[in-house]
Amino acid sequence: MKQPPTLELDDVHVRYGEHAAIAHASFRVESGEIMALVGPSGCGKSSLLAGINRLTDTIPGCTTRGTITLDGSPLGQWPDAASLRRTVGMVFQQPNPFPLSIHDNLRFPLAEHGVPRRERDERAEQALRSVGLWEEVHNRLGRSALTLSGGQQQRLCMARALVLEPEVLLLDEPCSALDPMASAAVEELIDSLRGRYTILMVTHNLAQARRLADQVTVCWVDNDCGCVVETGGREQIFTRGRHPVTRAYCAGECG
Amino acid sequence: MTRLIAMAVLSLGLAGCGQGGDKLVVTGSSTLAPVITEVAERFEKDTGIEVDVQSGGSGRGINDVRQGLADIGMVSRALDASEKDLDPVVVARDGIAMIVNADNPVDAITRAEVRALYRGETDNWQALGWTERPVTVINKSSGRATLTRFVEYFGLDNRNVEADMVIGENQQGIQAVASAPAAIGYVSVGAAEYEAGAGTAIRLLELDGVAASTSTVGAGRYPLGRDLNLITTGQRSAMVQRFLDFARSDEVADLYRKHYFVPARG
Amino acid sequence: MADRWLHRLLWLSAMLAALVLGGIVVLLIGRTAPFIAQQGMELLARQWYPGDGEFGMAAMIAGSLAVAVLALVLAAPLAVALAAWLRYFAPGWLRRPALALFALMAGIPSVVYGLWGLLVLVPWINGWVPPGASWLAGSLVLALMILPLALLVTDAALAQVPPDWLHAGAALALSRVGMLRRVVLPHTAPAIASGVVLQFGRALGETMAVLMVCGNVVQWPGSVFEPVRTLTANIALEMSYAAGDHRIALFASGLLLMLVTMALLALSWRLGRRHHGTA
Ligand SMILES: Nc1ncnc2c1ncn2[C@@H]1O[C@H](COP(=O)(O)OP(=O)(O)OP(=O)(O)O)[C@@H](O)[C@H]1O
Ligand SMILES: [Mg+2]
Repeated sequence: MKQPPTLELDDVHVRYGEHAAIAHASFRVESGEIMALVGPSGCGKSSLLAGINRLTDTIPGCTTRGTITLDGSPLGQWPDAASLRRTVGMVFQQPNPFPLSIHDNLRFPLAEHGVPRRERDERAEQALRSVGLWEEVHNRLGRSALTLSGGQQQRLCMARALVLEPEVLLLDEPCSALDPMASAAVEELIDSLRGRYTILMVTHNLAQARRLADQVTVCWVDNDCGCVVETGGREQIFTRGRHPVTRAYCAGECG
Repeated sequence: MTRLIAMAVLSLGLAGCGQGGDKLVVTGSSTLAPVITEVAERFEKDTGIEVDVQSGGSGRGINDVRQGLADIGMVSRALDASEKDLDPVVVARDGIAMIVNADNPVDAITRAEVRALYRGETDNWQALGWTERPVTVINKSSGRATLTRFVEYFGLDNRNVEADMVIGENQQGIQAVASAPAAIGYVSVGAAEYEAGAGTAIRLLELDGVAASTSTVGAGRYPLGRDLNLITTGQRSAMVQRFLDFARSDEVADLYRKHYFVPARG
Repeated sequence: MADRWLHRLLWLSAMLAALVLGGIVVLLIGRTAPFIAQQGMELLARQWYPGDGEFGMAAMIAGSLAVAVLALVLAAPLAVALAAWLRYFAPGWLRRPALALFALMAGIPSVVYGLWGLLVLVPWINGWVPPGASWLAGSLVLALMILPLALLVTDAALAQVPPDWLHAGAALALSRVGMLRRVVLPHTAPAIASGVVLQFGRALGETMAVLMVCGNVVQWPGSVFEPVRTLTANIALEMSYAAGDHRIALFASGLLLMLVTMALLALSWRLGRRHHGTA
């Protein structure tokens, strides 16, 4: 299997009009590793993710600056947002399956991306298996996805992102709307994806970051503008943070 | 107490009959209503007697008078044999004009031609000396005095009239003909003459060799003329008589002329 | 305290409205029942010659339905397409002024549409296929009349679509047309249908505009270029001249219209509720 790409951000800014949500963000997610992005609410984590797959294009007045590269090739030079978003999948905080059947939640994106009809069922099954949902739902694929539990819905959303065979995954607090059991299942799933995808995951759960992440980036709000404080290996950030903010933040929450 | 209620009911009943107080109720023909409204205004100024004029068609005028809902009815046609119970007073004359669009060069028509057009036997202007063009035949909706007079004059049966369009008020008919080059319709001579004079794109057709105008109508020469009547039934009260006399007097002749009718006297 | 009074007042006015409506229906039924019983199927089988005691309404019932259905067929897809376009495709600055314009259009009295139909539309159709005053003219005027409200209802329904789905669609690089077709429209269909059914009721009940442009010849709707008469136009044309059975027949057609409109209202309400049930 092809090695997933390295994701690198160099001096990235995301602005809403005049207001900078995050500025001077630079870090590197190695191929197949999981990077956790932590920091207080409002420091621009979601904005940064949206800047990477250019969802920011869809928000009026929102602009990004700086260089984002996949294996050294700048995303700004990709021909279109569609192929970029196919390569860089995304999962949101709130499970948001479409109001379609479980099966169609996967087949609809495949159809939209021109995958031939005969291949769709098989790829849907693969995706469901890789998120561990197949055994639970294979006998009710025709039922509405909205009848699934929150945790199942979130795993379906992961499957929906995976079914397009991305190389990078952006996860925006994927567990924070779930109960502990469901959260544990999704966490386990993310862990199982290590190595196959390059993953950038926002989380407020420091314990989870410590369990899952290879690398951790800490953000902060300074003068009403988000910024990256420090990036480092998991153990280094949690035990020997160089920056006082990192130490305070980790102490406060690891407690 | 019972007497009080009885009195209340009585006075209500009287008011309902339109005969209570010093107020006259006049209803009927929409052709007559505008001019009679002005006559009534002048009458009110002179006498202080209030007059309420409502339009709604000759049929309504007859009905309302018969049922006691109105003191006087306005009827824009001659009364027929079944209406012997009503006493008419002719206040003015009017005619029904055949009208076409101003773009249409045809300017005269005969009784037989109109009959053929409305029976669908002729359906192209070529037969009447214009170009190859289907005729848009405009008829009036049933119940209207103008329709009654029209079918009677041309010996038509409304069942066999093949219309392309049915209209209600005069104004609507004029508008319809003005906006459809191939249309033919019929409306009050007074209204048509006024609109044509005001530049609306219609032409009044000569009927059987007589021009359709208020002067031929007034002279009694226009074949498709009609009497405009005020009607009552039974004994006339002094107030009603006073209004009828006033409506026929020289004092209001100018009002009829203003509406392009021909005053019965004056 | 004030709340309770307001509540009572609202309840009272609702009761009053229901009472008046019920009263009208009862009155109409009372006035027309003997006539309907006496005429029976004649009311459908015969033709409309009120002067000769023939009160067949079938052609006019068909006329009413034909004009309203065609109006709906023309207006509803256009309204949905326009609303969706304004919300998802048009440049952002356009939406608000456009919606304001449609709200304004929704407030224009129907006679104005009728007048426009008479002065512009009918002559135009006349130059193309005479006589001009026709089923098509009526449907076009009605379509224009119901388009604004149908569009506003659709826009309101689209506003209820959870933005999460749209974000998911964008993140999956799904086309907006695909999202509309598979997700947004199916989800909003009951709400849109509910609004459209209401507009159908409005189209059925419209009188003046239709009277001015339909030609009002009593005949079965055949070609869209031929005139038709609707029940409402018939009432407006003849009521003031009608007496006796003729008048009662017009009351009966009014009763029919009222019952159909009430049934449509109930349908719209149920569709609206179903939407709430699933959302
Ligand atoms: N669409 C938008 N338009 C304008 N400002 C926005 C928009 N989205 C976010 N912001 C602003 O950008 C800043 C960063 O928001 P963002 O959602 O990226 O933070 P976050 O780190 O993801 O917070 P949280 O942890 O609560 O999700 C905030 O000040 C927010 O108000
Ligand atoms: Mg966020």
